[in-house]
Amino acid sequence: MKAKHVPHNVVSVADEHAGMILDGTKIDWHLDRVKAWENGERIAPITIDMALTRACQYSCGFCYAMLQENDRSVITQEVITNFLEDSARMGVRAISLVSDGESTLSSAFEHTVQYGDELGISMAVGTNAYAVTKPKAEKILKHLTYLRVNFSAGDRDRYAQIMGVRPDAYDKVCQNIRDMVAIKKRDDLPVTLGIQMVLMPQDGDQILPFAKLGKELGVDYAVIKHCSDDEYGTLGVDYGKYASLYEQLREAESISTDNYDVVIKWSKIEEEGKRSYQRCYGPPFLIQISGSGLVAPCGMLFNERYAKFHIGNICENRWWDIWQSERYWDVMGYLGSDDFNAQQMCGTLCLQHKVNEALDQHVEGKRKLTPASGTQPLHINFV
Amino acid sequence: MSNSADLSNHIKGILDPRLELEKIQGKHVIVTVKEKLSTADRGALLLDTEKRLRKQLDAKLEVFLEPKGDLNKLRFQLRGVGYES
Repeated sequence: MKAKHVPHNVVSVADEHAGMILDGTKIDWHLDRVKAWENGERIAPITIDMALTRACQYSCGFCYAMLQENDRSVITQEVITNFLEDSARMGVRAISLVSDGESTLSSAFEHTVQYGDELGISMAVGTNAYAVTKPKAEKILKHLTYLRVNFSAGDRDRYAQIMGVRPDAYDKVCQNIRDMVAIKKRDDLPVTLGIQMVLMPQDGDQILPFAKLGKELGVDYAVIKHCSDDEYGTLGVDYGKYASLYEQLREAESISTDNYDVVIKWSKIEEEGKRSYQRCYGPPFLIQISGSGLVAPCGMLFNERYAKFHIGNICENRWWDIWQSERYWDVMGYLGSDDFNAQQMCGTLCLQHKVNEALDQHVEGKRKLTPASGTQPLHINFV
Repeated sequence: MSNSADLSNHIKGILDPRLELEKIQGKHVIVTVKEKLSTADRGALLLDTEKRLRKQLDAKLEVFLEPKGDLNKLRFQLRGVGYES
């Protein structure tokens, strides 16, 4: 299957701000792959979400990565080079370096961003931005579709508390963001710059300071999302408490301007961690890879506990061979079968949730996916 | 199955020799893998075992390994930092 790559300069956030979909899925822009999947073809993922390491110099209280430990291997430059070439060959359209580690700490980070882009894959990064200094930003921004900074507070001291770092990290990260905004403006880069708050119900005091800070820093958007939890509620997220924050969230939205969007992931927050579907059809379209190299259908299954779903490791085998293996498709088939029930066997609000929801409605005939029309959304390859 | 001891014995009789039963928690069957296998081979062994247990004993049984704790030392030390208003 030949990949259709959308160059970064096709759409610009400056021109098409309204075209940003942060609280939904873009799967209906990739119906060629949905159709191939329905025909039983072994499709390549549209998007891969991965990390280059499991390490992180932060210790956010809500960090899901603490629940995702698995046998660690090192993703070297050789491993990632092979991986990127295999991804391009099979038709992967986008790779986001987010997942379960701080990829900017990997020595292969800059190479990954640059080489992935050269191969025609849309590249994106989610980072705490502590290590994204001006020289690094100069090298990577031109290769990225978006860069999103995890920034779960607005005030300096609360940032330190919530994200588990010294307060001066706030100053450094703010400066790094200002430098990125300046580089983007200077070079008229199409990259979208955003900040993201993972909102724990007890941190509602930071909603407005966060939304105001994003405006002051000059980023394109600030997004506020729920916090995911595992099926045992290990992180202790009380979804019922989000409702008491709705007024502040609406006030935060009102801070938006023509050049700055404050986006609340209402659909996920209002669902209170509940799923409307049981089958998990999303992973063949949107798969996740741990910073250990582990290939698993979903980040919520990274922990050793869920080894029955572990498909392979890109540090052990070529990604191409893993993707072609019977094992890969056995696991995908199991997740989409009657033997699997995402309502009972999964944590809350996974990365694939919106894709799962759309595909389930499509398969069940409740809402058939139809060819998308109108203005192409930003970040189209990140489903 | 009359009791948990019976269930445990039945499971042990079905398990591949490379697996060992650690404990049973409700419908969760916790096992350990006794030898080093590749990620794919280990995964296949565990999923096949779950399918076999479901077919032969109880359709709701699920097979897991023991969970692995966070190895990030910084997160481990600072986790639980609270906010005092």
